[in-house]
Amino acid sequence: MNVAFVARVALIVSVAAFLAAPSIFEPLLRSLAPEGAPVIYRHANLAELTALHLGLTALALAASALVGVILAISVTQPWGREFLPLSRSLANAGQTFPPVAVLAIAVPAVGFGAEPTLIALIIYGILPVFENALAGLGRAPARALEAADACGMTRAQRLRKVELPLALPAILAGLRLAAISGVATATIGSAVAARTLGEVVFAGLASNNLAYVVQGAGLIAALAILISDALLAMERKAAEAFPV
Amino acid sequence: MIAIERLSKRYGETAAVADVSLEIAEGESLAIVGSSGSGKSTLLKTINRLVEPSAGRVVVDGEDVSTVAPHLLRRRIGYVMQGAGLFPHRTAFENISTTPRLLRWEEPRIRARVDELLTLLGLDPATYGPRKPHELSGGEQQRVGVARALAAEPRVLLMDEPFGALDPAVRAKAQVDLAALRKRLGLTIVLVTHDMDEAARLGDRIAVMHRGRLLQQGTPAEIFSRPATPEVAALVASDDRPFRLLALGSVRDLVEPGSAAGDPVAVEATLRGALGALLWSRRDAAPVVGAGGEALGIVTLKRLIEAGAEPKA
Ligand SMILES: Nc1ncnc2c1ncn2[C@@H]1O[C@H](COP(=O)(O)OP(=O)(O)OP(=O)(O)O)[C@@H](O)[C@H]1O
Ligand SMILES: [Mg+2]
Repeated sequence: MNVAFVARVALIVSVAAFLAAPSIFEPLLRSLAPEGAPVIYRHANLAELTALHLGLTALALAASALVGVILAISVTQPWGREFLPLSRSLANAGQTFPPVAVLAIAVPAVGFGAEPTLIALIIYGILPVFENALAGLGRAPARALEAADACGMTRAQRLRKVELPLALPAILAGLRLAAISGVATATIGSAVAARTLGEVVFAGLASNNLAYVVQGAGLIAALAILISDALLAMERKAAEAFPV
Repeated sequence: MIAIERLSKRYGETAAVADVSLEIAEGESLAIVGSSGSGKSTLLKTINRLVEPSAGRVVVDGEDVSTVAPHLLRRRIGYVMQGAGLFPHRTAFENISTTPRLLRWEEPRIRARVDELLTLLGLDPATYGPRKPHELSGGEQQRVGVARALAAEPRVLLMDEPFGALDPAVRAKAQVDLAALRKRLGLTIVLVTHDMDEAARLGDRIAVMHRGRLLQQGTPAEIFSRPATPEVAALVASDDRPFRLLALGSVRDLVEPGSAAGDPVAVEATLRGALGALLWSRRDAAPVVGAGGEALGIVTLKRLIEAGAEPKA
């Protein structure tokens, strides 16, 4: 029972309590709200917003994981190697665009709402997954690869039975980075009318209500911490199961 | 039977293997020796198509290997490499069962085969089967590597410096075990090594390579006593060449009638062992006894010394 574990449990309990009955926390937040203004955000159900925020992030994460890993596998095959530099610079370019710019470009194309946010999230998620998967696929020792061939594995079998398992910890590390940045980027999505926790923060900023800002930002931060923790634990498990 | 016919492999300007022809008979073991970069590994790997030749061909059991899909060919040929090359994320059991699984053997047959091999190699299946490679010593890893190569019951075993990473004591034990295994399974073995002693101990014949070319092939005694070129001579020349030569012969070859005093030597002992015994006890001759202790004659210091000398032209 170490401190970190206790802190984590406390965080989960408080998030759950806050989402179930936000009014319990009203006394704590009262001093942050302007005189006479509401303390707890009531324009939407906070639990529902949290679920939407998470859902959007998870959907985008799944898509970028799929694209990133497939891309990394493709450019490490003999037939795809020549596309390695190109795909690297494309993924890097995606990352250098600020999220707001991606949103601004996506809105005219697909309209307001969840779609432009999803596009931005996917684009942002691909690079960390791709780069980490690439590093992971390069992690298998040359001798193990030669052994796989010598044992009579086909290329596909070698990929599935040796290269991917050994790459899994690195792939999970990439997912973790993408998830953390995704949780943050989804916040900005509310600027283009995606329903996320960003709505609470922006409402607070617009009405000068610090209590709103703290509620929204606190929930977002808590989500990022908990997701990162969960993925880190998986990563450690995988590294243990698939040591190099 | 393996036939390597006029085989060459070039990498750009370098000829890693240049016009090599070799035959390895069924059940024979051939040791390939030569200095670093002489093309030993490249030649070995053309047999299971880990390397594709630039010219020439390899025929295994009458079949040109270039006509067989590489992954199918490799499932019938065992391959052991230096440092074992185990899959780090798989247990010893899983490593050994790799090829049988690719061949879709039934689960009970796989289990029985892995247990049999682990036992044969002196590793308790219950203890070692579930261990990951990082939980095994270098020698144990090497044995698991050998077991993995033998799992699908190949008749041909290719070995590329299999014991190169082991310390001398473990290595000697591994060599003895391999010789026993070979006898028991009737394996055809091609072994790459740069240790002449290992080549002499494990090879029925030795092939000497230098800069991609095959300089000489013959029995260890032929190679040691009559090197064909200065390069071969340089490879085998050393102060202990007489002892290597003596280690290849057995007392049986030199027994003569007579009687002598002191501890007897066994007729199956090496000449090197007999010489050691005589030197140590300051004798000129020792009685020779058979496996049942029966007297067979004597072996003399004089004959032993002659056996270790350079053959007269
Ligand atoms: N994949 C490759 N690409 C280019 N050159 C290679 C390749 N493999 C081997 N060579 C070259 O071919 C020559 C023979 O190499 P090989 O590995 O067969 O030597 P070796 O006798 O096994 O040496 P060692 O005892 O050091 O293992 C060397 O000059 C080596 O540099
Ligand atoms: Mg080599």
